[in-house]
Amino acid sequence: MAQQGFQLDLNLCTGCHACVIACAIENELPWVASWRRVDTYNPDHIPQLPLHHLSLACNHCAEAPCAKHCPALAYDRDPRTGAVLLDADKCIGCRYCTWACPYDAPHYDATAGVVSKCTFCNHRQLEGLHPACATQCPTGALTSGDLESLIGIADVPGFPRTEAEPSIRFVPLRGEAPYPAQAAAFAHSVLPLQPREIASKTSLRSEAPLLIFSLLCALLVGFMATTSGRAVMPLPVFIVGVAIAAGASTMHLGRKERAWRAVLNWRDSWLSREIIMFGIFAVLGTVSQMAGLFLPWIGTYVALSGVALLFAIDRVYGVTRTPGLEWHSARVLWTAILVAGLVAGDPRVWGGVVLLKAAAYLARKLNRRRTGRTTRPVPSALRCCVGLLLPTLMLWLGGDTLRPLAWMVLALGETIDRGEFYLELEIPSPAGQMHIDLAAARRGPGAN
Amino acid sequence: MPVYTSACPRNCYSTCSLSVHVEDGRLRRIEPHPLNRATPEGPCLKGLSYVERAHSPDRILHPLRRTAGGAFERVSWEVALTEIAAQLTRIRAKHGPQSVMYYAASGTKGILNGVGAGFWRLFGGFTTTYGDLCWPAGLEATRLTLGENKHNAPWDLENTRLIILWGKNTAETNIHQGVFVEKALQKGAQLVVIDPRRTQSSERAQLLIQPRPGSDGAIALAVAKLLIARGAIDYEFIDRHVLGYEEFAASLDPCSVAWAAEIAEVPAAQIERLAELFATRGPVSINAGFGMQRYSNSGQTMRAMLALLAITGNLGKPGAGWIFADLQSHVFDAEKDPIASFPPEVPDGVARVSISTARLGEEMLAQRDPLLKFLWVERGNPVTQNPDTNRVLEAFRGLDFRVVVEQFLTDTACEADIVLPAKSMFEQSDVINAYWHPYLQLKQKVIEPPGEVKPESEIYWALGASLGMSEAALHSILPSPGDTGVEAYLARHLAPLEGVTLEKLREGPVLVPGHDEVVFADGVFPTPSGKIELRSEEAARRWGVDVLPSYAEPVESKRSRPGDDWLYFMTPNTKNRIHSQFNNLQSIRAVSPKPSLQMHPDDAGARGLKNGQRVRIHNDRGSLELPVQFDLGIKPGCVATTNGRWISEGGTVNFCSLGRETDLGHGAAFHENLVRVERA
Repeated sequence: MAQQGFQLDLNLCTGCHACVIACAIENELPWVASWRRVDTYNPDHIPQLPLHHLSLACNHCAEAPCAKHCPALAYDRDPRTGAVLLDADKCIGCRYCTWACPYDAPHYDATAGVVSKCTFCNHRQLEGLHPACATQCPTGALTSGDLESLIGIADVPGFPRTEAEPSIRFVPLRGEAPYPAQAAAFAHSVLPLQPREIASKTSLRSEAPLLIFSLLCALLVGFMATTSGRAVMPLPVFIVGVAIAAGASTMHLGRKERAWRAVLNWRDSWLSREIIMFGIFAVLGTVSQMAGLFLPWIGTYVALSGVALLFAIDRVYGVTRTPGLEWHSARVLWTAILVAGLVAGDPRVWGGVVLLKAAAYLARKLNRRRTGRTTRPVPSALRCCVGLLLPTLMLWLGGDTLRPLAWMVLALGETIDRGEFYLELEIPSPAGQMHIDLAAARRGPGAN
Repeated sequence: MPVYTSACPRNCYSTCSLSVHVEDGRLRRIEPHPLNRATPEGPCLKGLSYVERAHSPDRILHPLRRTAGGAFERVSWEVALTEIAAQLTRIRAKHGPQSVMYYAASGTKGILNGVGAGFWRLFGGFTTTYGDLCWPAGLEATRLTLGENKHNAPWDLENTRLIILWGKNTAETNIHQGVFVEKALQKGAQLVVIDPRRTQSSERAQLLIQPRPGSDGAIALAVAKLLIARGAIDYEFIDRHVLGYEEFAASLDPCSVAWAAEIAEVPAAQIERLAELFATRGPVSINAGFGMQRYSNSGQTMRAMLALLAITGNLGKPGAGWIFADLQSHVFDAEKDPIASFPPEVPDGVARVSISTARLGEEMLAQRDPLLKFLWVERGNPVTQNPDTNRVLEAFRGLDFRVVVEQFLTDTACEADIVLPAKSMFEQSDVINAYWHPYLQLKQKVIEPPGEVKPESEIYWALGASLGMSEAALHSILPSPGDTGVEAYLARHLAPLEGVTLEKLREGPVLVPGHDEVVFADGVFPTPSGKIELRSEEAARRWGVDVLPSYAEPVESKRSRPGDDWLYFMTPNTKNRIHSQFNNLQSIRAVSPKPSLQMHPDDAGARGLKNGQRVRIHNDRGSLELPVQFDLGIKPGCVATTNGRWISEGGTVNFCSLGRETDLGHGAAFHENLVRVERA
């Protein structure tokens, strides 16, 4: 059997949800946790724009991002059907694949502590049957077969466009925008509809361990990267810091006992690399604090491993494809440079980073406002005035006396910034893509 | 794993054939049955959800009795039946048997449903309803015009060149028809949808006409006038098969496009476009929905729509015709609907058929000599589904004793003194017909009833014994208890049908012997004149309507009831329910949108309402509360929410409806409602 794929005929799909229920029955899933879901394009019936549904589960991509980014090597492909399968016994419950997949296919099961996802009904396919969803579609809109033989396109409104090479083909809607007469009759009454809120996959509560881990790493690296910093940080403090960071990142896992698996995919996953670099940094930092006098060269390696760790942390979030992430003011590498500059007492360094952060922060907020996203004015004001402006003035004018206070308010500002970073992560999904494409269609020619 | 042929017995067009997979006495999955040409792709989400429904922890598995505190307690069958028998005996002695009311509705199909009325006859008499909530106006309009309710086979729709879905949202109520619509469209057919809402079914339409609810008849008459004026009619067909054409044509004098456009509040160009499509593309099929014939003028509306097909010769041909109800498979009825549901002209003294289903609450309260004292309900949920819920509740609560046979604690079951556990479709075999395709099917027993559940036929057997009826008497109307008794009963009913046996039905659906795939092809119309009757003396005599199809404003409309803030309250069906069934299941709830009131932003703006805001929908009959959901596809002036929600889910739409009959057929005109909407 060659790579199998799904085919969805948008002319036939009525959004009836039989496929969603069929999936839950076949795979004995809780009713609310079917692997298949249906998203609707233009649910408010904006005149002159068509409405269609996308029934989607896993697309069993040729270049599956879930498998590529999984740190624990828990994903595999059945060569007989091309099904991308998740081994629940190998999954560590880090949820990284739920960020990496643009189609919202893997879902975290909090009870089991692991991710669960569509198996393409591999057990059925190996018996010569079609997946349950395709078998049970009452209009024949959803079918499956040899991907090569399936007609259709992979680009329809609401379907995230990626390089993953999804194994799905859509038969697009026939014809032009429907019934212009209806649009003409009601054209006067098209109001700017409130965008339907798309549930964010990240929240401060769920990502708090990552917030602690990443800020703590920035702080530790900032200290350890300078000779003076290493000198003022006692070994027990360093070890406690490392232990808290390690604990926080482990806390985040659904299956903590399998945390060791997180390093397995060092070839492909920035998450594995992050964990490995964290380990190297922790070991080198400890050795340096214990025996730095005897190993004068080690400081350089501590600093290098720290920078590599922070670089990896920042790269981890690239998988979300959040726009503007490269110049995000909450990048941990910048935070570490800020800390290092402060420890070294070099106003050129910390002053430069403060200016860079302020500029990046403002640019980001303006961009969010321009694109209709929430800007959170109160935390923004706190971040800029208390978190950047005030400590700068205190350090500049107050000298040593105000330094501890300045550091504390600066830390508050960094925490706010990093917290917002987690709130602003944008993980692509069909629901989000529908929103983006619908907004574009409304602005475009022919739409009201 | 054993796999059984079965069929879904719900009150639904599709009446799907099913392959039921059973494992260790439980349903494992339900798959498509390839032998049904109308539903080859398999059941809808509701059909799949039987896997949950049959084994739901919410099923009633034992008789329940209301306690003094108002809660239900589990009692044995013996206690329940003894108490019911005692009440029946006392009430019969004191008030006469007709103080007992028997109410059954469309919860499930099957020949065995007939045993209920037989039992109450044996009891000595009873009171019951006439008419029907569902479809009588359309059935009667069709019977008066064509002589018989039948239509071309579902798969014939592929041959149609112009498909008109008139008040029918196929995608939600008859999803399998959508497959044939799509096949026709692929072959180049055009699709016209006439519906005040932009629905899933109108997404593929070339023309969507959104009339004011209840005004469709005016559009049909204006199109007829245009077609006649253009000569785009079939003179030869009219000569041979149509009665009253000349008179009808003459009566259309005032029915200009401008007249209809003004009444229906649609652009005149859309009516002209519809006429042009009618004139240039044949064969034409009109697929008329049930919802649109629940208005006080809808029988006449349906006659006007039928006239369009008659004058253009779109009857008796492949791809053409009137798709409303195909009763060819209703071979077990001595008399078919709608006649079967009319009250007898001469009462037989046993059954008092005196309550219009449409006015259930009001007329139960109005019964005298004797007053109603006892109510038996099966296969129905009249509290949420019949018009004017508050009156129904008043009538129910005024009785001495109520028994409800149910699978779940519905709002009606909650009104009972004793609830008896009802079987599911998988727990007793029965033979069912359909009204969209001409198949007979076996709804097969595949599992044992859970708990202490008894099929109704066995409940009656046990109750009869408690009442002291003799076994011989019970035998005359009931199958004897047990599977063999049921099979013998079914076999007896199948015996007159050539080639239809239980053995054959176990393999798959069987086309009813003698059915026509293309109906009226022989030109035989069993009306009094033998022709298609545009002019119907019987319509005038029986119902007091115009002898010809004509337009009359509905009783309750914005034109007949002044006040600018009224809105038309539309209460369509959803794909997620059959009336009030299925929405208590977790599988269905998981995919159902939150209950809401669809409203055009213009109407919301005029009332200062924001999207998502909770509103009170009310009129002089009652009220319910829902959040508003803006919808740019609904006709301004109309609001809509799907019917069938339980009171516990926020309120049935029938709090706002009125017990009112349709102009023809004793139907319920309960879609004809004006409401006000304001911030809750």
